[in-house]
Amino acid sequence: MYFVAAYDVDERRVGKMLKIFRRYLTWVQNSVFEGELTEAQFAELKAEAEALMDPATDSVIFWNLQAQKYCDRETLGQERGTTGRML
Amino acid sequence: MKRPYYLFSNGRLCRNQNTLCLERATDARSPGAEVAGDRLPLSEIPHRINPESPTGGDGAPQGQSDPAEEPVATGAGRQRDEDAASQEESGAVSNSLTSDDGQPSGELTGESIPFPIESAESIYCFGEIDVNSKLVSFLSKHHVPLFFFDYYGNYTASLYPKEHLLSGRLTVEQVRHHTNQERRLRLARSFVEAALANIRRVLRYYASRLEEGTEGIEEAIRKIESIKKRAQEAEGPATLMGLEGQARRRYYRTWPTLLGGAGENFSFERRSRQPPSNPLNALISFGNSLCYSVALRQLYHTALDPTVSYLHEPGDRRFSLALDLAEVFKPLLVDRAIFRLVKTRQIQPDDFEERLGGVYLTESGRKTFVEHWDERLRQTIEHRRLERKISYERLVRLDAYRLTRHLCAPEDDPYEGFEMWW
Repeated sequence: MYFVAAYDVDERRVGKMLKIFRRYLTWVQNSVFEGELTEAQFAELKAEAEALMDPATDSVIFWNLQAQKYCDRETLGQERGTTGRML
Repeated sequence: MKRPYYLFSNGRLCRNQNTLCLERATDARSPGAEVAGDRLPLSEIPHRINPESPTGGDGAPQGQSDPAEEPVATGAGRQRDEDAASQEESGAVSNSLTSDDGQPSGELTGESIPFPIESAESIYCFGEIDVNSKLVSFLSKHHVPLFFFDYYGNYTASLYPKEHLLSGRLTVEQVRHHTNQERRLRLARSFVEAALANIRRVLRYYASRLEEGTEGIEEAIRKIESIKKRAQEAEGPATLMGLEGQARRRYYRTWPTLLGGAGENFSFERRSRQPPSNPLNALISFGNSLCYSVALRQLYHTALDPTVSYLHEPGDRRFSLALDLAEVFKPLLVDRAIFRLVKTRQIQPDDFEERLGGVYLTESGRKTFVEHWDERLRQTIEHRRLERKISYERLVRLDAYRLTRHLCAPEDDPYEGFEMWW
């Protein structure tokens, strides 16, 4: 499954959230990530994010695009993160 | 789905807390300590010695990538003494080529690219990559193997993480099958038969697309079939290897016909390696080393011991079971990739360069090859028995599982190497 994910969390937790997300997905912009996950990986990521966030104030959103081919990606200006597996 | 990452740029691979990062360096590259005549065969582990260091091989300050090579280099220490001597002679040659002090050729640019460890299945280093022991333990913890390729694209090392799927019972069975002549022959034969069947499939597949010259192909197919029959009566693994080599020679001779118009820029007299003498040989060598690494990283995820093999002699310092397994998949993965790339003219004669008496893919050529290779491994087919879609890469794992079942119960569930049916 191909995901785009974004989070908006309290300043104190931003760094920690970043570290969790970077393990599973590719960073594309500040607090925006994308990448391929299996169901198990997705469940793990959700569990870790949920344990860290405060549901009263923070928000994390996942868009499940099923497969990368269904998503047309267009960038204006700078491409800041590098997706792809050829580095 | 975990997938491999391919690093073509230079830099330092490092662990930043729990993140995997590539700190990019500038593009400058130098060949390193490799000199003519020092080509490493496909599966050997390197033992790089700095020719300028005062103490020779042992305990000399090594390049930073060396700690990474250590875990896998079982027995490299032994080799080191012998090679220190031969290196001293060749030292003069290598010095004239480059001032090689084992330091990174490029400067760090400060750009750091994090990439997700959880989705990395393995990492291929084609660029000049610095590695340290913190990274090695980190990768080992996540069971990510690392494969190194030198300046010319020769496969040089695997960093094989600590085994995590151990099974003493299976290892004992593996060895019992190896020491029993009859049982070993049974397995070796399966590998060869499957390899030949796949070669035949590839020939049939491309022959049907040819307008002329099909008679030559038909003849080759007949020849390969007769070799396959002889393989059923072969008396030992050495004979089998010989027969397999014969079939491959006959098979390679059909390549110019199979490649048709696109092949006119690619002549092919015979298979040569270490170093490959022409572009097609360079493609085969590069493809075969990738295939070997695929077999090895699939074996890593099974309880099989990759050093106990049946067709190849279980040698030192190489994972010979991966060689056995790769034999079955080379026609499907490597040869078809080469045909596709050459026929669609994605690989052109200017993707090669001549170096030190051999022909090698240039960096951009390697990139084209690897991109196509990666796509090919992800390609899926509808599996006949499992009745679901299986990727080409997964087929290798399934074959390893079949081998495991054979080893545990050779009568109930005999191993037959994977054979293409399409």
